[in-house]
Amino acid sequence: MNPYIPLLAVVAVAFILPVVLLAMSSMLGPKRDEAAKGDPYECGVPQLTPPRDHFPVKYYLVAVLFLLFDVEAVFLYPWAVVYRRLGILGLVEMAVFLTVLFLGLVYVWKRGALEWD
Amino acid sequence: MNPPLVTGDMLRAAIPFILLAAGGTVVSLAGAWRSKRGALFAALFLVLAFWKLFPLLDLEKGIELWDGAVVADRMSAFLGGMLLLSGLFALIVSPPVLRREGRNRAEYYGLILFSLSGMVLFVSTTNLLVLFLALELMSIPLYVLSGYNRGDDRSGEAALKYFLLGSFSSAILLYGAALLFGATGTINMAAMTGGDPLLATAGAFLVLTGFLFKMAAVPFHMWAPDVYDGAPTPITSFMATSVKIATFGALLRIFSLAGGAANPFAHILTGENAAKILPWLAVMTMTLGNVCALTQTNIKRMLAYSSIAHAGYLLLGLIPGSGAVDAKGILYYLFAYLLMTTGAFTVVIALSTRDKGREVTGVERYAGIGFRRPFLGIAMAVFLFSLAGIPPTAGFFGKYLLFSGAVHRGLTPLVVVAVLNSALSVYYYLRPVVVFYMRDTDTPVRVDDALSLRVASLAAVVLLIWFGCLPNIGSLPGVPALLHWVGSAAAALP
Amino acid sequence: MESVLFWILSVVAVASAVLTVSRSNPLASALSLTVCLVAVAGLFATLSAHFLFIIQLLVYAGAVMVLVIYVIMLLNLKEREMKALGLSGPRVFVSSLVAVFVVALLARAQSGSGGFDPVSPVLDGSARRVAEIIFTSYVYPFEVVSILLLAAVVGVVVLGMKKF
Repeated sequence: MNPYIPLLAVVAVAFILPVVLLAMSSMLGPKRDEAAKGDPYECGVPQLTPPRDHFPVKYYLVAVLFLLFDVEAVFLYPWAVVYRRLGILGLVEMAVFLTVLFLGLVYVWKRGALEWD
Repeated sequence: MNPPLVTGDMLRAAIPFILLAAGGTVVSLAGAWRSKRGALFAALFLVLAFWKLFPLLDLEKGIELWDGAVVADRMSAFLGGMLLLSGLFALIVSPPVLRREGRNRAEYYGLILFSLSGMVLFVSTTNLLVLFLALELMSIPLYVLSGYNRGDDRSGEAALKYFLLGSFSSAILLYGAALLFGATGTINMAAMTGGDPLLATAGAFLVLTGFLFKMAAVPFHMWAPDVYDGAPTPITSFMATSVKIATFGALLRIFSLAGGAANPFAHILTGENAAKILPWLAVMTMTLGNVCALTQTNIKRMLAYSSIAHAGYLLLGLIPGSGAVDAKGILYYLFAYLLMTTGAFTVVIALSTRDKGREVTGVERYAGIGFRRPFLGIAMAVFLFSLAGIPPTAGFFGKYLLFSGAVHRGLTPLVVVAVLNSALSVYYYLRPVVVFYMRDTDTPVRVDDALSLRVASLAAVVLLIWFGCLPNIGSLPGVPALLHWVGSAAAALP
Repeated sequence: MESVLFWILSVVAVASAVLTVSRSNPLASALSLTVCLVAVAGLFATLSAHFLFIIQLLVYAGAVMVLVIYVIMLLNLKEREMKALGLSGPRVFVSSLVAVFVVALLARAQSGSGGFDPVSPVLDGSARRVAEIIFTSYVYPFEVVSILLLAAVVGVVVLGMKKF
């Protein structure tokens, strides 16, 4: 059997399920359109400011830091596949890599870049 | 499946890079503890790396590292030495500027070391993967450093422009690398032969485009004036010199591989269908740089266009003509260029003031400086004379070497254009000198008298004249010694 | 089977790429780009480049796109400003030119001598094979990656922190 068939089955289910659910709710659910329903939800209070506002840059800082450490984690996948065969040197290799990035984490932490205010 | 072992030879060859990378890490971490001694720590690591690099200048045979991906030889040692010198100047001239702003943070120096470690790697590899890694390692800290003055919107603009265009050019280089791999099936540039000629040539051209962007050659120069102008002046000085040294150094290594006609880069250098593109690039680069520099009133922009022009002169050395690439001329010229450009920017730092958070560097503000500050006046005059190629400075001797080498390789028409360009450049290089000595104003000019700035400019003046005209005096190396080092570095290339 | 998958994924990739550059709302562009990245990931999988497949999903379609969407929200363009982002004559012309050039180049390489078969065994992209290469021949460049990431971490803090 082709090894991709289970994968394709998962993709197919992931695709069909939401389509079916959305179709059912639009067919079966009652529809009463009113102007107020299109407004952004502000806890029942009339909207005061435009809902779309500038995001603070600090979200971005967190996102970029996440991305960098995510890239670090990516290298753990292939390493995990072969580390038994690499032996002790493989451990050293990964230890050096992780130490350097751990120093990065220490830096970010100590610098206060992870604090929200 | 054994990971490679570390031998003493390998460690000896890789230690400058390791020291720089470790230095970057330590100094940056010191920043997290709010250390004010970042420059000192960084200088310590730099000098240590220098000391470890020095013995490599006498290597009989290159040491291959990392499965042959990286080579430590006399060439990479000489280029590394120049890069470290450029970094040392940056470390010396930065603290006064940063203290003025109250932003003397250790991270700044850590990023300089990271960038240097990338450059040292960049000039010693023939492997496309390592080349790309090194390119990013040298560029990313520079993108950040050019935006270091966060209070100044021009600094932010510089960082954004440099980052967007720089990452785009890195992507082009990477695409070229992919095509080269697709054509030849290897990422080791030394082993590339044959393959589909069209694909290989296209790949080689795209890789070259990445280099041309970094050295600010026409038509990939647009970013240079804005970035050089907006970045903090010590960083402008650092990138104007070190990035040029790194790109030309790496190109020398790559082009020296093109001796075998089957190498993809041979198509660029000697191929029939390559339409002799390098001569045109050189002519356009030097002419555009000089013509645009004529009208600049801001000295940082003027020096930016001047650095474009100098990239044009240096490109001349990369054209093989009837001989080979002129590694000797390029190395000597880079050495002279390093000293005169850093020196000129050091004087600019000493004379610059701030107005509402913006740096003011207009030429007209320098009226009368020549008499009020004799040393600064003389130093600036030496740097500008050298940039214009007036004897007895190293700038003159460098031009002489490059141009006479080109004549010997049968490139006389190009040399005529280059000489005309040099003549044109005298006009704008002398204008600040004229303002220094011929005009005077009553408005007092604030000058930064920091010791480190004076030391840096004095060192640059002395070295420029010393290596421009003096013979070896006793055990003190002069022009012949420098020529010997340059020659033996050039001889290390295949 | 493989070729059916290839065609479906290719059509999705190309269509979503066109949508990415032609939408004037950057958020729509970003979502199209996500679809494009996922489709390309699928292409990697059909070439048995499994490692690349998972990286493409995790890093590009996942983390990088989160970042892109953050930037779009940070900028928060007005309707008026979005107008300038759509397609225009010169942009279509230049990008078509580049596309034709690249396609012609690759087509010629495919038919020409010394062309490189993209599914030859040299290009076994399984996680095991990639790991063997990274952790033996390329172990030092691999360590350089950690330096590069560290430099980027410091750079991000220098540029992004409010009180630096």
